[in-house]
Order: sequence, then structure tokens, then C-alpha cells
Amino acid sequence: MVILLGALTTALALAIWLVATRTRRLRKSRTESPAPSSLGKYTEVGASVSSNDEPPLCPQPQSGLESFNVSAPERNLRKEESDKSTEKLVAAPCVTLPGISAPAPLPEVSADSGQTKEGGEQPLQAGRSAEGHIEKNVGQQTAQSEKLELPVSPNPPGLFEGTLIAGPQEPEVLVPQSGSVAGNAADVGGKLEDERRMPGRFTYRPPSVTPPKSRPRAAASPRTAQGEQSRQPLEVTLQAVFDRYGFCQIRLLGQRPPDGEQDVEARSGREAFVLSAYGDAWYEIDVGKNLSAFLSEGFQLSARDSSGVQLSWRLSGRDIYVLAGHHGFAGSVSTTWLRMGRDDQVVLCKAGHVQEVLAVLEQAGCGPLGAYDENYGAPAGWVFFRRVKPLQTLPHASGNDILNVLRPLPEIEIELNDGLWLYDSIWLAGFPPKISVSGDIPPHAEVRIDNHPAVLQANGKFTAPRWDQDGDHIVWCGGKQAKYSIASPLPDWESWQPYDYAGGTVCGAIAIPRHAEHLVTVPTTNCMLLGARPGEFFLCGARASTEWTGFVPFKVVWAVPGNALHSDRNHHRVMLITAISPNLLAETRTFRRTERLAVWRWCQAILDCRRKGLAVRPDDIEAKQLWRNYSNLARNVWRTLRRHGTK
Amino acid sequence: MGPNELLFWLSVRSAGSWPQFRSAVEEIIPEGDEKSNKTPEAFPIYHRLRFNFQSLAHVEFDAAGCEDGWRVTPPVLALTRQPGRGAAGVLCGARLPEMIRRFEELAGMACERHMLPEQPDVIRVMASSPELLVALADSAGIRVQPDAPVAILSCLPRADSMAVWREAPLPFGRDWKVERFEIRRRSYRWTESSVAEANRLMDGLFRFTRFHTYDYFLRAEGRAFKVGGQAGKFFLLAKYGRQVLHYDRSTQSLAVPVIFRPPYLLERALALCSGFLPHYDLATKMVVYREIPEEIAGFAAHILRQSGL
Repeated sequence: MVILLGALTTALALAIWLVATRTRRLRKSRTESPAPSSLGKYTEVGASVSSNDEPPLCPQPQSGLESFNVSAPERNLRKEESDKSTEKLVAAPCVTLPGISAPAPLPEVSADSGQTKEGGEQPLQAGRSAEGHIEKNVGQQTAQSEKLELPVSPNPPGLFEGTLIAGPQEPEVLVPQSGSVAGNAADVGGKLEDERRMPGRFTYRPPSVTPPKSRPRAAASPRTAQGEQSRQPLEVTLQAVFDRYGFCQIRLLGQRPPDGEQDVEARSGREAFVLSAYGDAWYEIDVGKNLSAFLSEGFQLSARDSSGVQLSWRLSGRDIYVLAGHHGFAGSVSTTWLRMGRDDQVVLCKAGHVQEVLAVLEQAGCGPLGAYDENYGAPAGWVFFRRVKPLQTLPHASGNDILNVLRPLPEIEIELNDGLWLYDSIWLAGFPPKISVSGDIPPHAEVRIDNHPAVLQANGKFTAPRWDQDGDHIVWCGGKQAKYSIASPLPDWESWQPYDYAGGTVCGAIAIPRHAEHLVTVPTTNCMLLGARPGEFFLCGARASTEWTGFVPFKVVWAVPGNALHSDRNHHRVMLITAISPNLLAETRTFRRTERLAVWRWCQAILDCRRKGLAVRPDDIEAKQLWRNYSNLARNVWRTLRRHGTK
Repeated sequence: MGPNELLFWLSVRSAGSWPQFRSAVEEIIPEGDEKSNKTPEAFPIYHRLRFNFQSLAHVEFDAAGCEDGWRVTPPVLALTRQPGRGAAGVLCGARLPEMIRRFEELAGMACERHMLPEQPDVIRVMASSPELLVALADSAGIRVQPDAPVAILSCLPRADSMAVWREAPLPFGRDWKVERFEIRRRSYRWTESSVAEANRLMDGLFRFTRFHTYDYFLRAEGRAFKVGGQAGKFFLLAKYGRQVLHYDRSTQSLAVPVIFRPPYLLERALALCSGFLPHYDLATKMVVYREIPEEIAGFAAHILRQSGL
């Protein structure tokens, strides 16, 4: 409490000091001004209280903390408008600190200067910058409204819900973040109308304030916002991609809105064009044979997406295009004008301008350039020049000379190219961008990377100590700077199930067969596989090869011929795959009805081999003994089964 | 920059759309030459890279979990038994420079790196037993898939298994270009057809093309199924009892006419036997897979319903 009281006292003292200062300044200005403004106890600061019916005169700040400065012509315009309109007053945006029940009378503030006029103490006003510019244009009810007998809530919603901010020369104030009190302000304005008509009292009249709506204004829906956004034509850029034979593919790329559809059909007049997604941010516009005409005359395409939002793309026609490399794009894309020192630039011009273009490029020190026509992929009636690298600046001609785009300006440009660009300004570690600086670099200017002097390498790129290490970096030259980051991300790659079949799932090289764990490779002659337990029986499918391989749901002990009784004793063998002792417990157990058939076939396979007298491989004592054990088990189990029946 | 850098980029991004992949290919592999390595079924560079990345198990395209797009698979050391040579491990899936450096450092001399066009480097490590490779992968923090080719083949349905296909109505309208796959006595080719013919015939494989996108429909027993083009071809081959696979036991190579290149996953299983994609034999006009053990060739033939090798 003590601290709070102390802070309040300090704030109050500062406010009083500010009021006194401003009053002094105002007095001074009043002496210079022949028609001083006076609003009595109320001040006009909210020149434009936005309403649903009338657009605001000034741009609305994005948030309650942002400010806007009213330019002089704008102020004059508003002043004129306000003179004509019904004069209403809006109370000053004032915030009362908690605990102060009866704030001091409000001072007068000139809308032009924002300075306090005579009388009263300086309130803790929101939205006033150090320069005295108006910061917020939201009219707010003041604590003085009680004196006017206004039906205003002493604490309107949102009025005191704010964040503490500190202005450069002002004490901390509470600034409302949300909630509009325009309605209350308008009421104030209405009540003050008569008072404002008093001649000689007002030099500045604010624009009219619309009456309040009965219900709070609904927030603009994303759909509406998108719709409004879509009224602005989306960007169209030109892209030139070359193959190794020098053949150029020229495309038109249209900006793709966020979450734009994969394919869009757009119309220009009666003609329809397909826009196919190209990357995440662009569409490739398939204009076919219209490319030449579109480039020279320009075009506008319109489409409506599935949610009904109107989209349009516009390209202004011109006779000369300059294209240059840009990370995120293949080849070269449209740019504003030719830059010095870059060798990835392409100039596309109409065939009729070739001589003029060549002359300007020659002046810029580009050296001999070859003109490539339709045979190299240029649109009909157009010609392009590759690897255009100006070495000197040229002054721009006066007027709208279309050749000005070919005259490099001396301004310095820091370029980050190549490397493995990931997104934003981030490059992958090990593949940093190549840093180059174009333009007229003054002799004394120095290129610095992370505050280290950069060294120009033989390839024309700048480097400095640790310029390619992980982290954020800044390149600086001649007052210009560019930032980039090197990152070594390690995403968490998880396995999923892109292919899910009855046999199992596959994801990359990972395959998980269902109900099969043990890999076995056996000759296709021994296609019957037997496990240690009666009933562990697997018949390999027919294969075109001499060997069968695959996964079996149990550990295979024996591989025997599929039809032992009809096999050739001289060639076929019983093969031991894994030496596992038989499960002798099976002799005494009773088999379930569902497993009896498999158990019967397991026994039958062993007994058939035994009856046929097939040899065991490998031909050693252990294998033979193991086979004998299995034979005995099979015979005993078979007898048990015969007693209970196989079905 | 080339396919290695493209794989790094894909690995960092993890997943994305098809247009994003296409533009990334064009940006990272500049001056894409669409005329080199021309095969009878030539595709643009981004399609060829897509096939290669998919066959080498680095990236999945247009599958469940990455519909109309792509997604990088986790890094895996795919093991395969090499008859008489122990075991081999092929590094598949996502890659980053640091990961490769560490893996090569741990593998030492046993690691081979093969640089080939239009595909990321083949990184292969040989050992006398699979257990050694498992230990290596563990220390490098990479997952292991033992017997990868057989494991993949074990999951795949057979070429004539209609249960895995989705019954779908045939497209209609005039915008479609329709072709029918024709199996003649000595040749196989796509011939011009029509929507009406596709509806009329009870059997056959049809290719519907619109906006450079293929859709394959198989007519079988009067029903229409949307199938993969290659699977549909092998279905027809099985139906007509035609053999197109050729296995050379002496060189352990499996050859198939280029028009009958196996479906992606089966090709992946074959490619993981050696780590290499098949090469195109100009003389015989066949694609040839190397280092394929006989049992794997037999397994592949079994899935494709090819009765003889």
C-alpha cells in the first residue's frame, strides 16, 4: 500500500508538472494565435470515432498501444469537414488511476498541437506521445461526465482493463486495450452541442460522431476480412527457368492466398485459365498461347474459391521486364530494375525494343549480349537476354522512360543467394547463403559481417570469421543491413502407416509383417515347415525360384517335402532348420477342436516322411536323434487324436 | 546442389505438398535437364526424382498420412543378407549432414558412398554379420530394419488380389484422354480408346488423362477399380499368363521390360537388396535390378503372379 501510494503520489506530481509545462507553452502559443480554441472543461482528441456507417477519417491503429500521427494536410481536411458537420464533442481519452475518486478538471487540449490549454491540471491521458501527437482516436468518457449528468457508467467495460506502458516523457498510464466507449462519447457530444455553438469558443471542430449502436460491435469475421482482402488483386510475377541447353521456360506465377486451393479456374473475359499450385505461396498460371499478349497488354483474372471468396490477379502490361534470382524460386523472377554486379539477371523485352535495350545495356557495361528469341523459349514477339551483369550505374531519364528499369541505380543492395534456404531468413548449416553487395560502394565503406570486417573472395562473395556458423548473423554495408540465420534443425521423424495391407504395414524401409516374426529360407522342394509344438505347421506357397524365403509365425524346426509319400527318396531330405527339442507336454494334452486339423497335419507330415524313409540333413547323430524324438511324439499325438477324432 | 541437398531440405521440412516438392526440385537442382537419361517413358525431373526417392525409401508420396503431398520417412538402416558376403546395410529415410558425418565416422572403412545421378548418395555399410550392423545403427541412433526386402515383400498383396483395390465409377465427360493397355502377341502398348469403350468392355486396363494427371481404372468381371497403373498391368499379365520377368542366376540380376516396371513398394524391396536403383539396358530395353538373391526374385515373382523366372 505504501509503495502504491508512493507511486501514485509520484505520478500525480509528474502530471502536475506536465500540466504546468504545457499550460505555459499554450499561453505562449495563444499569444501568437489570433483565434484560440477553447473547449471549456472538455477536450476534443478523438477526431475520428469509427462507426459502422462512416469510415474513419484516419487509419485505425492496430492495437490500443499503437499510435498514429495526424499529418498537417489531414488535420486541415478534418478540420474543414468538422466545420461543416454537426458539431459534436467527444470527451478526451482519459484514464483514471484506481483510488482516485474525483479526478481533477480536464485541461483543454488543442487538437493540432495536443498541448494543454489554460486551466486545470494535466490528467493522465492515454495515447499522447512525447511529441504531443494524438495517439488514440477513440473517444472516451471522462470522469467529468458526472457534471453533465450523463447516463454513463462510472467504469465502462474495458475502460480500465489495460496494460501499463511508459511513454518517453510521461508517467505510467493505464491504456484501455479493448472495449469501445464511443457510445458514451457520442452522448457527451450530443449534450455539448449547444455549448459548442457558442461563437468564438472553438477553433477546431471535430467530425460528427454517429450515435451508438444498441449492441456491441461484432468482431470482423475471418471470412469478411478475407473477402475484403481479396478485393486487392493478388500479385503476379514472371519466372524464367533455363535448362542446360539454354532453353527458357517462361511462366506466370500468381500469388496463392493462405490455404488456397490446389487448382483454381480463373476467368478473363470469356476465357478460362487453370491455376495450379506451385509451391505453397504461388500458382502457376497456364495461359498457353496468350502469354505474349498478356505480357505486353497485361491482364486481370478473376476466380471464386470454394468458400465463395472472390480472388483476382492482375499484371500490368509492359514492354520490358527485368528478372533476377531470388531464394525460394527456381531461375529468375520479376524484379523492379536491373542491379549492378549480379549475373543472374534476365531482361525480357519486345522484339521491337531490342536495339534500344542493347544500347542501354551497353552503356551500363554489360558487354556483348545475345538476344534469344522464340527458338529459345521466349514468347512470340519477345526476346530475352541472359546473364545481364551491369558494371556501372546510369542516371535515370526524366519522365516515364520504360528503359529506366535497365539503368542500375547506385544504391547499395546486400544480397543473400544460393545456399540451402529453408524458410524466412534461415539457411541450413553447411549450406550458408552467398553474400554479395551490389551498387556503388563508396571507397570508405566497409562490408561487415557480425561486426567483423568481411573479406571479398575470388567468387565475388563476402565472408568473415564464423559467418557460416549456427546462429543469427548481420551483414552491414553503407548504412544498409541484412540478417540471416544458420540453423541445424533436428526434426522428430516419426514412423506412421502410409501403406497398410492385410499382410502388414510399410513405411519407408520399415516393414512390419502381421503374425509373422521368423524369417526362413528353404528349398522350394521342402515347402512344409514344422515347429516344435504339434500344430505348428506352415505350407510355403509356390515360388518360381528354387528357394523359398519368408516370414513364418513360429520358429521352424523341420522343413519337409510337401508330399513326402510321393517324393523321390534319393533327392528329397528332411531338413533340420533350428534344433529345438519337441514339446513333450503335447503328448498328454487334449487339443481344442479348432487346432485338431493343424495338429493332425503336423503329425501326418512327420509320419509320412518316416514311412517314406527320407534321410535327415544334416547327416549327424544329434539331428537323427532329434528326428526320432519328433517321430515318437508325432505317433503318440496321432494316436491321441485318433481316439478323440480329428474334427 | 543436387539430390543430396534436396533430401536435406525435405528432411528439415519433414512433410509438404506436391507443388512444394516440385518447386523445391526446380530451385535446388537448377537447370533441370529434362532431356537426359531418356527412357521410353520419359518424365520431368521432379517426377523422376520422386520415383527415385520413393523407391529408395527416403520419402513417401501421396500415401496415407501425406495425401497429395510427401513426407520423409524416419532414418533407417535397412539390412539385407548378402549370400557369401555377410550382411549389408543401406541408409534410408531422412538425412542431415551432421547425421551422415556421424554415421560414416562410426562405420569407418566398412562404409561405402556411391554418388549417382538423380538420386541421393547411396550410403551402404558391409559387415560379416547383421548383429554388427545392428550395433552400429544403435550407436548412431538410427533404427534398424532386419531383412528389409523380405519384410517389405511379406506385407504386399499379390497382383491379382482385388480385395485391396477400391471400386470406383469410371470418369465421364469429354475432357478426358482415354487409352487402353493392349497386350499383343509380341508387344504391349497403350492405344487410344474412349470413355464409351471403357464403359462397354468388361475387362481391360484404361488410362484416363486430364491436366497431365493419370488415373488408372481396371475393368474386371464387369466392375471398375481404381488401381495403380503398374499393378493393373501385372493383373492383366497374370490373366493372360504372360511372363515378363527374367532372372539371371549367374549375375543375380532381375530384368523386366521398362513398361512393366514393378509397383513402387516392390521396386523398393528389390532396390534395398543392393541399395541401388535399377539401370536401364538400352540393348534389351529392360530395367535391370542387381544383387537380387534368388529367393527374393522368386518372392517378387510370386507377388506379381509371374509363374516362371
